[in-house]
Amino acid sequence: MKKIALLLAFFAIGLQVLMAQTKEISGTVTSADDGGLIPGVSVSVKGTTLGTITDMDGAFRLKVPQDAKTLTFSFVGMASQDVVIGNQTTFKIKMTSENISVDEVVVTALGISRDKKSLGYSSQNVKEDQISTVKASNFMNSLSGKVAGVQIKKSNNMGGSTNVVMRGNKSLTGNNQVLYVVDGVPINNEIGSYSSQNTGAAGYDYGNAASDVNPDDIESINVLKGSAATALYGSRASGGVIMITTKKGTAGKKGIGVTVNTNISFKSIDKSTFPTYQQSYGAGYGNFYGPNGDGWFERRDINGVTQKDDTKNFDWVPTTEDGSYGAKFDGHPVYGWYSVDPESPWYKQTKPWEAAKNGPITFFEKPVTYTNTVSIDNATDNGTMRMSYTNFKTSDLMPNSDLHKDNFLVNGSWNITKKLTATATANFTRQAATGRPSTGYSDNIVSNMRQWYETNMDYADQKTAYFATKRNLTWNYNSALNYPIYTDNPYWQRYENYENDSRNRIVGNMALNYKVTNWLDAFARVSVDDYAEKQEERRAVGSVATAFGVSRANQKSGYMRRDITFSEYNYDFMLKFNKAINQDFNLSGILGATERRTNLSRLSSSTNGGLSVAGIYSLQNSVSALPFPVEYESKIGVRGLYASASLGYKNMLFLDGTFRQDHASTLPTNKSTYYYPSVTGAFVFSEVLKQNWLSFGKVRLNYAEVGNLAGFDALLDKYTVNTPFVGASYSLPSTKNNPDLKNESTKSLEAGLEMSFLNKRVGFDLAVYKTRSMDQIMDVTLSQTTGYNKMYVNAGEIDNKGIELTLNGSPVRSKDFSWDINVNFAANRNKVVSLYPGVDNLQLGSFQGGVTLNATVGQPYGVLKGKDYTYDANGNVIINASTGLPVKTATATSNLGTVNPKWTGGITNTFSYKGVSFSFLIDMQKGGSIYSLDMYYGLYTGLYPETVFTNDLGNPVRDPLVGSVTAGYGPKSGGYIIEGVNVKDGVSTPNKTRVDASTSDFAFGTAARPHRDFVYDASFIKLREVSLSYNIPSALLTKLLVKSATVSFVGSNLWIIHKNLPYADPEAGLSAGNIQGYSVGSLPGTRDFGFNLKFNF
Amino acid sequence: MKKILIILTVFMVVLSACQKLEDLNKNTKDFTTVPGEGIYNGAIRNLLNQMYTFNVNNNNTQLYMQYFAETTYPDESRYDMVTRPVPANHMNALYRTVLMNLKDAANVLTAAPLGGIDAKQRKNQLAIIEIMAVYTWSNLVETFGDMPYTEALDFGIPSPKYDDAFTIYKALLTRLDAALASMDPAFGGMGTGYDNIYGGGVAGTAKWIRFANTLKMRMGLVLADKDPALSKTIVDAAEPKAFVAGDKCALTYLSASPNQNPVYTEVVVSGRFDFVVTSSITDPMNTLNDPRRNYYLWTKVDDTYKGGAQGMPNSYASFTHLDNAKLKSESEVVVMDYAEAEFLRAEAAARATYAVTDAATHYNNAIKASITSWGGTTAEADTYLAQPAVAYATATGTWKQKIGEQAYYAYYMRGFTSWLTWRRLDYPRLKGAEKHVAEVAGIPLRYSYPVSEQTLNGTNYKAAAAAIGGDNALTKLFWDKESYDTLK
Repeated sequence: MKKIALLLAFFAIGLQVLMAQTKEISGTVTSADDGGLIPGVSVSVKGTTLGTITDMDGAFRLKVPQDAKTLTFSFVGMASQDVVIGNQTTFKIKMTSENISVDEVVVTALGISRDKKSLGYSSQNVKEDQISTVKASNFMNSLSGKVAGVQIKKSNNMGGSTNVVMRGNKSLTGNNQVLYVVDGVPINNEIGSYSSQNTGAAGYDYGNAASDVNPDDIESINVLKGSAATALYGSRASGGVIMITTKKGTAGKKGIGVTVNTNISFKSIDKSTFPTYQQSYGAGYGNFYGPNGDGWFERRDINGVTQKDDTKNFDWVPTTEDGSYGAKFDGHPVYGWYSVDPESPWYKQTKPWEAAKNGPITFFEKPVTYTNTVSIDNATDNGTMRMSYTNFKTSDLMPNSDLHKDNFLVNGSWNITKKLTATATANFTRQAATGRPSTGYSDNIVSNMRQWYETNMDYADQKTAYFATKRNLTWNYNSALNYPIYTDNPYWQRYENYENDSRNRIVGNMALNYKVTNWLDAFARVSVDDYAEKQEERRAVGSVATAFGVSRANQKSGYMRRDITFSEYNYDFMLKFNKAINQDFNLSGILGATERRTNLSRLSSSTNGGLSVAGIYSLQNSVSALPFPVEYESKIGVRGLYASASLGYKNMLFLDGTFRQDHASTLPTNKSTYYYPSVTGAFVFSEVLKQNWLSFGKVRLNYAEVGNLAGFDALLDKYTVNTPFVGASYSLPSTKNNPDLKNESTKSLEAGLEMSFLNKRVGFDLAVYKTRSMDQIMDVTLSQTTGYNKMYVNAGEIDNKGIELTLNGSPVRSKDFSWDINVNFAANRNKVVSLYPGVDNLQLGSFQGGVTLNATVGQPYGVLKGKDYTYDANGNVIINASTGLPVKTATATSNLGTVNPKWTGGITNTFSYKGVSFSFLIDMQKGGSIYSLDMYYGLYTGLYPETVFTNDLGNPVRDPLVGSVTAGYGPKSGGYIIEGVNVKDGVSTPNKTRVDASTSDFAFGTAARPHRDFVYDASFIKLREVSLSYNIPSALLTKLLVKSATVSFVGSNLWIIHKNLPYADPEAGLSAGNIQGYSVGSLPGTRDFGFNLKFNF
Repeated sequence: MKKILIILTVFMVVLSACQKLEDLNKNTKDFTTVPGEGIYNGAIRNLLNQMYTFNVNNNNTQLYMQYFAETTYPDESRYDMVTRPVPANHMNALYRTVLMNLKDAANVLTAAPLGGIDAKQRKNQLAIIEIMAVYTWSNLVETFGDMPYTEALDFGIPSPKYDDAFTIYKALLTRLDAALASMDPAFGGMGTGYDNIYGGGVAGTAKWIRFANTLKMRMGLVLADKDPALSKTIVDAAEPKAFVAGDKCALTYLSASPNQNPVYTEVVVSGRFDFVVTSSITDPMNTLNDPRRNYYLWTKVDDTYKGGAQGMPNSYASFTHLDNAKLKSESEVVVMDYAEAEFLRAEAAARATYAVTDAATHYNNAIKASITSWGGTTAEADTYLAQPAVAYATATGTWKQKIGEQAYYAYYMRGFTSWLTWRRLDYPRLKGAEKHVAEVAGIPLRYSYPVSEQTLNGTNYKAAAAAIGGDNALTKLFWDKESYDTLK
């Protein structure tokens, strides 16, 4: 092997010999940590393509030109070294491992690179391999568990949105999402779905726009959490900033590099996140079917007609129902939806009355994701260039779905003169999706599976029926009207009523940097983020009526389209200076001006009253005249002036200050300009202490204020234009605008301590913070008796305080083997201090079933409220003596828990042995509550095993009650007893009344129990990621002209080690936004397995 | 340094050359001013949609009054007002989408230039708005009891206090009188296309006056047991000017969504099969051979009308239900009609303390008007009335029972009217749902206050709940002096 490598090296060198006088040098490379020899270290002559690698004994031999000046030694995980050649011919090099917590250069606000040591605020860096190894369609999902204090909630929807909140909710009703900044330029993160979607009613999750960032182009992500870190972004960064640096052609590393990365991953359902069904009872809600209203089945003849003479009738499944509280399975032949239609394969045939062989889970597909990236980069004296193309293709659990993305990125820099440098980036993304899954309660196949389903219904039969007829032969069939009742055939729904959408987007910038003097740069940049999106939704003729189109009125068929265009332009100008005043003092800073223009325009239009001609999805194909299309056009402008200064003393004391003035278009003229400052300090005390055991120590402290502007057009009232009712028709808006708004502001204080010990083998970074957000611009919910639902006001205060801790350690670090541990932990407490005078509760969301999500004075943001149990003086649950059911609180205002977790954390273990690296990440959340509508209804409809059990008398719980509490119950009685007390005249006696569970009425779920029963603890522990990668020794590769190659196996979300929410993933959210803590019809979670190959040529 | 200054200067010049930043905030797509009559038009449609919808999220009165029963999910028939926030939706619809808009319509009309119309017509327009506002308010008080009134409809008071229901009711009667006094029958009202009840014009004004008096008569009779003297003054003044034969206040809908008849929307367009007719109405109507059964848009089961069980799940196919083929998108909803006016007159006559007399004649007129308005013939009405079980002289029971039962058959599809009448007369003796939510043991006598008021207006809510005798759906409202236990 060594020989081949040497031969190749020799060959390469031989070419050089022809051009220049050479000399031979040689040497060995050892580790400074343990003295071991290191093989595979790259040795190159700086500024040329000449080079070699060390062999298995850590030795190298290289012919270099006589005039070669410097050798560069580099190795993954070690600090690169430049060594002057001079007259030396043998070298003994000691390499030290790179410790990322020190001497790390990080990208801070406005794209300014800073030595991390000098920062007075907390920031956490995530490297390329942590994002791109385990691929997710939305790169934000790859951050789960890796950054302290960042709460990430992904949806399982294909291309779905991800909710990312840092350090708690700071805005009561506004945007709490983080700001995404790519190479210094903010990008749009508009959430493409509509209010009915993120409140859990119905709709598609169109994802959030920041997901367009291609994970393969990310070099690093720096997470800036506090206001001090983000103050220069002002208004938009109050939720924190995720700074993304894309890959560039690397200056200094001359020559053409080609990287090819191919990734394939598979998903399989995590069954713990999907219902388990009871296997004993089928369709129905009780015994009230048939001509006399007392049977478990409908009674009809073979043609579906009820005969007066019941002996001519047969048992028909009550297909109008969508619950499983019917007859016990006994295998006797029954007619059903499959027997009705002449084209049905089972026309006039029976099937045995038994549990479905192919339950809902068989409906799902096995999604595969392919990601292929090829990139080429080059660097010359005149500049650098990198181009990459990524092709991403994925499908969903749902049939008939796919998402396709093409991503083109070009960036480069050009040294026009010695002093003038130009850089430019252009990123074009094309995304097309078909068949995103429906979300929420209505019109969602998964809601049916989790809430409304007949356990006898076989999905394979539905599939056969749809593909045989291409018609809506549904299980939920009203034979009386020959029409589907509540639910379509799920295959019909997927193949006929699908949505599709596409988005073309360009994000780019051009910048010029002029070096005025050696300490002063002038910098100007224009950046653009521009996209056009089209969304189309359809309902085929023959579907169940559902809220559809711009009016959201019930429609049996229809077509809707939305056209969205967005553009944002940022113009920046900065003067950057960096000057050493004397030996001890260094002053650097920025003076800048920025101008932003954001335009968003949406046009939505839909057919009305159905489609005239089946199969044509066009606005012209409307039965009735089109309703007025909905036009929305917002324009926002912000003009900012800012200054920042950093003073450093002896590389030990650092003091930073920033000041920004914003002028916003959305505020009244006399209040449209506002100011906010920040000041930070850092003291590297290890420079003073100089102890052996202490490798590094720093304390930091900062204070910052951030202002925020109003949304577009929040000042003046506008009428709603209704469809004319003979004459024109108008209505007042439901939200009262406010012409006197001023900016909102957040004040924050943060302190931190960062230390590392024992030659940096152990270290930690601790941050504590406290923020208070005031004068919030919020649409406060009013009593509807005011004539409005909401009103914009400047009011309310919300406090957040928390702690973030990251720990890293290397228990083992030897020549061949190393073990690294990274731990992060964060806890945030927030409290609503005040709202609006006279208002002490703000309803953030209202969920089906009567549970609400609230911000209440004195309580954390996001409290679920509903009906609770009632208790006697001794704390016993009070049971109604006549029904046997718990007595609920009179009002639905009991606090049922907050959606905020108590703490979150993650532990990553990485083991490396020679070229093999194995790591796994365990991610956890403690606390937080989630309301499950799935359980609320699914227990009522008798889907779950919890509704089928043997009672205390040894009888099936669903058997009828025999006897009564007063007369005593017979030994054959069904029903069950809820533990608690009956209270009469203030005296508690143990409850002995049985709950009648023979029909679904008041047995389980919905009306039977208070909301408390359906609010679950959202804690979880997950094996989030496992990756195994192998760097193929370059010696093996050289003959293939491959510089390096990595093969990796990755798995994500492999195992939910612990959770309390039954049959669903507590993380599966509806969408990004402030409405959280609601589990309704979410897709099951998946275990993802991927295989990744990466080559560098 | 000079270079820096040049660059800075250029940049500043570019910046200052831009347009005024605040101009960007101009909404170029939406309206800041619209005609007042258009706001009125929108409010009336919102009002009547809410009053007559079958949507179980919005209106359950047709279930409480047992005209209809639910098929699979009988929650609302069992008086669940929490799972679906029915009280909140009713309150929201009436306060926000109706009253606030009526108030705004009046303000806009008052401020707008006359533009060629007579000042007296403007007064008529404002009076029409006022009449519909009083109608809306009266429903709120009759539905909930104490409600925010003096502090309501003002965003400056985010948590308005509740006013005493009787005090509000008296204030409403004063407003109605003022509106009537300001009307001039020689002038028209709303412009073409805006008054879809009476069509505007001079003829419309006369009808509005008769409607206002009919409403006044009903409100007067609501107070019959609470304040007999006041009741008499009001009823005696209004009765002679109330509806005459052929009169009605009704809104005819259009063929296309979203302005379709609300029952048609919920029953036909929704594609759902949520309701069957209840035996509470089919059984007595079958017994009395009521001709209206053939006009009430019902299907037959086994050649007869067979109602389902109230408060229980029902099989859609097994019971009489609305015949989708007969329901029409354009059908009208009836706010009040001559039949109701005559039932009210019959009641006043039967009470014997009012000026109006001859209960039997008014009773007969009411029933005839009801049958013919649904498409029945006079002959059918006469046959029906000739039955001893129907005829006023021979029908069973007190006048309350006779009028109560016949009004019940006539007020089909008019849930709120029927509910109010039943609570006032306590007939027919409907039986409450045996299976019911724990909080509401019996047919509701009011809507409980919305959950949103508990959370958003908590202090005032608590005071109001205490003032009316507890926020329970079985709390009797101030005018409701008698009731019976519907579960016995």
